[in-house]
Amino acid sequence: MTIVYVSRPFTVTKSNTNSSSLTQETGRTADDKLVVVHTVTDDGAGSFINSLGTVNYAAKAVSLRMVRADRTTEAYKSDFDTAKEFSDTVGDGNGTTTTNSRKGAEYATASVGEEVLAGSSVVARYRVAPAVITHRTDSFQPEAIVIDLCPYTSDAIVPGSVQFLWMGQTYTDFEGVIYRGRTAGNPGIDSGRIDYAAGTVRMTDYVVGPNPNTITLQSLWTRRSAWKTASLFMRTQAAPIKPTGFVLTLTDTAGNALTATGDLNGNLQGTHIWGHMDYLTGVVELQFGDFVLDSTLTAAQQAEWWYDPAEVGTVEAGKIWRPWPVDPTTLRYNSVAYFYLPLDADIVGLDPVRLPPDGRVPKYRVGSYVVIGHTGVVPAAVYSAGQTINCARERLSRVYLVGADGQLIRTGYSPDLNAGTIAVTDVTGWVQPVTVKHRIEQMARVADVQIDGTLKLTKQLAHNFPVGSIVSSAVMAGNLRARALPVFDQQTWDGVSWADVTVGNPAPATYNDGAFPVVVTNAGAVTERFALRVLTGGTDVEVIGEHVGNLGTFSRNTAIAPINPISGAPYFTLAAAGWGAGWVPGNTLFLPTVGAYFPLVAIRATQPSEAIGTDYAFELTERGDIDRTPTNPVI
Amino acid sequence: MIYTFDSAMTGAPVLSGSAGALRALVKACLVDGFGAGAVATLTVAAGIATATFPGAHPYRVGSVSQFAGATPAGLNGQKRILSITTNAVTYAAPGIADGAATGTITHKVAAAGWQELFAGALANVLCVKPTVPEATGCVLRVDDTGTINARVRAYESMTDVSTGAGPTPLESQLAGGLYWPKSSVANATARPWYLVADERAFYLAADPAGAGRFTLLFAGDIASFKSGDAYGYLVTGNQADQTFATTVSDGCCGWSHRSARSGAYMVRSHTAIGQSIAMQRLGAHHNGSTADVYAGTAGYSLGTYPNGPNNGLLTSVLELHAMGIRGTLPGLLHPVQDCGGAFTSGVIVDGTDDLAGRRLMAIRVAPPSGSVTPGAVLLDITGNWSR
Repeated sequence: MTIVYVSRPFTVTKSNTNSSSLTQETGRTADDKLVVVHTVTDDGAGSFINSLGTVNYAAKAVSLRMVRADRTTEAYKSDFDTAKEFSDTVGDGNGTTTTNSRKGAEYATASVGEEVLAGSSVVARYRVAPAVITHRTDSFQPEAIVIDLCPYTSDAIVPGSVQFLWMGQTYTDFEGVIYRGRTAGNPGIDSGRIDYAAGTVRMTDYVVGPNPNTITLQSLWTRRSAWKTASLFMRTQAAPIKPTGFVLTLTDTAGNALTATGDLNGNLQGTHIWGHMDYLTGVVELQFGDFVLDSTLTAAQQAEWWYDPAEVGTVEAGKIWRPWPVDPTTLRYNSVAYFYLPLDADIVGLDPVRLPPDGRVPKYRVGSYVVIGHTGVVPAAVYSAGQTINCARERLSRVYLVGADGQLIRTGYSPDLNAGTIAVTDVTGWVQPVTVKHRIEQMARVADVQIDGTLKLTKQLAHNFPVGSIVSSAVMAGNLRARALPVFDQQTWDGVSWADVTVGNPAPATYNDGAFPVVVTNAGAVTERFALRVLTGGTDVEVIGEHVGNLGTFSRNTAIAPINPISGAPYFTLAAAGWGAGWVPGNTLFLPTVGAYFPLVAIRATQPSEAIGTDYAFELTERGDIDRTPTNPVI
Repeated sequence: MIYTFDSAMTGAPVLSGSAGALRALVKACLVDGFGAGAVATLTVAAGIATATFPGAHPYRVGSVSQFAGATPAGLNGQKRILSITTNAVTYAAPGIADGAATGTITHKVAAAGWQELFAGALANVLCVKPTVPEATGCVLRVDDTGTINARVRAYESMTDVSTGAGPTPLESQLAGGLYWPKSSVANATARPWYLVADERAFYLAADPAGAGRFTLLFAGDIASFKSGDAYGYLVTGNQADQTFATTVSDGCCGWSHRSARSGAYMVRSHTAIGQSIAMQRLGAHHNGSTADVYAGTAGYSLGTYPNGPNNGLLTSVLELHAMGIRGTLPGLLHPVQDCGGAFTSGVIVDGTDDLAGRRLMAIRVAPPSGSVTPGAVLLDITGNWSR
């Protein structure tokens, strides 16, 4: 005989009038029989409590009632409530739980017999009265005290609705746990567990005070039947959710807390939990239960409603999904959601239409170029003129000499990048010791870009790049070379209209840019339309750039070469000999040039917030390829 | 080397009554050159190079051209033109092998090799000074923002386009500087001019009324009697607007004054102490009773041209006097006899005797209008001018 479940293990009955007590220890057997162990003590005055019997100490005789034959039990099955009762219940909550309001019900009254369990015995423990009465004190750890909060109803307690006063302390429930002293700012002290379905509280930690028999129930909601479910479908309040940024907790009907956490792929995992979440939309789909081996199920379990032989093995071999009922009212979740601020182009400084929605720009693309580089360091050392520093690797791209003061050293050495050596020629002004940084680089094209960060290149790497090498994306500028476009002229010009062809009549004279082409240099030329307007007198022209403005007055008798202040080189050089005769004041020669520069902008967007650093640096490096004159020309 | 320019040359800057015209003229002649163009062919035969142009060219016999871009390189540089045709010129090319030159060859009228200071700093204002080391290094500032006159001043040195040490003339001597006539009317009508320069000084003959009556102006180093005269820099100009005057122009160097007269200033006296000093211009052979005369008229009182005893043309120098005779104007010859209309402006006269081998260019000098008989002066266009 196995007692599988003890719901109310002890019932102690005492009396104020005598010291007799009756302790009933109840158990339930697997075949649903109630087994009660009665322990009754006498009051020392020859009586048992509740008139159970008498003791005659002198005669050593006990008279005790063992069983009662007059017990009955009622069975009731409710189909529905009366309309008024239901209205009251859902309306102002005045509904009653009396059976009179229940319709369509069946009543049954059956006699319940009690018997002395076969095979058990009545054990009498007594002590032979000593000559002298002695006293003894015993301390023990009491079992948890079970308080039946709902002795008059079989309804389930609504979680979170319980508050009662017991021995001067206020206890509240939260997620299956009874706390005392719980406030908005205090998590309280774990004092026990509540079984919402059974309506009982097991107090394991409590403050002893007066009137332990009195419980003042300050709040408690019940409902007819507990809302139980084993599947759940919901949507978070905000979306999209940060992947892994979702945690869901709820309690099952037995009061156990279940926790579901999401992984990167949106799978929700936890005890008795199986589900998936779409982080983009915030939609959550959950099933509660477990896959159990079909072979472990008893016949009784296989008779339960959820069992379907066709379901066995459909997902996991030999297993069937057994639902695990939970109380959905206890569901809570925490989530981290992305919230996108509307971008104001005036504040951001560029049109957000060009930005991807998550703000991240692909850095590497298939077909683009990357530069793999590694910076090696020769430890700081004191050098003198005539020494050769060996970087221990060849075909360097650059070398830096950094002084002890952290400043770059620019003179006094001559690097041989191919050999990887640096000849020190003059250490004047060096702050010793000097650290040498040397770099190897290789440019390659990307054949494939994987989301896990793998780049596949279209060629072999010619260097052995050690750990710590850096891959940089490269912006291709294409072929750049300054050039001048053919010149053209106008008889008159209004000074503000810029065109690429003659507007109105051409000037009677023509600049001979075939024989005397406009000379531009990469250093000086800009992409610009220049107008050279002949001034009064015919000798001088004023040079006006569309964007660089009026560069001044220049004589046509000499080569015109307005200086670009950025580089110190002329924007263009126009030979005097090409002008020819016939220019009259007002004639304008237009001279378009194309510069050899590649405009790009490096934007660092700093949002107004707390500073987490003050020193940031990055380097933009130009890389160029040049053609070398062949040493052995074919022709 | 002596550089000659005139308004009739192809591509020459135009002198007119508009702002900036004189500035452009002086700059073109002294600093930039003008009339640039391509040379079609350049061939050498027997030490003479012949340059052929696609069209007209600006050159006169005796003017200086600057060639560039030719191979052999000996054909490049400043060359004095020996002869001209409609579209070709010749110049001496000693030591160059016969044959055709190659390259993109350009030419232009050579400038006198001066330099412009503070270029572009102020519109229509020009500051020029010689580049040769033997020059005094004084700076000529031409403020050509006016129309019929430019305002001119010399400085010992300048620190920016409007600031300098030793302004000549001083503000007390002539507020705003000397007047250089451009045109009697403020319009774009071209006026004739001649400009004869060497590396240290230049003469500008302007004809503000367009009547063939030139005002001969001078700026630059004189032929000083003082050895190593560091302040031997003279600038002449009118004391007021005289573009249509009927009396003698103050700044004209074709005039001899026995009496003191303003219109010519040197930056310091020969003592090298002090500041701008007015100079008296005195013809060396000025004779007779007439105090102030144009050269080449009867005023010198030495008879008429040609000189009877030798059937020759007698000339004298123009001396400068202040605290003693300071020196003479270089390259300038005053005929001392009445030449009448023997020489017109721009005519070339070959020198004889002491001047043998030199070519002299005549300029008719006179008040811009009125009835005063024009005189004539001769400018040595062969050089070098003695100093």
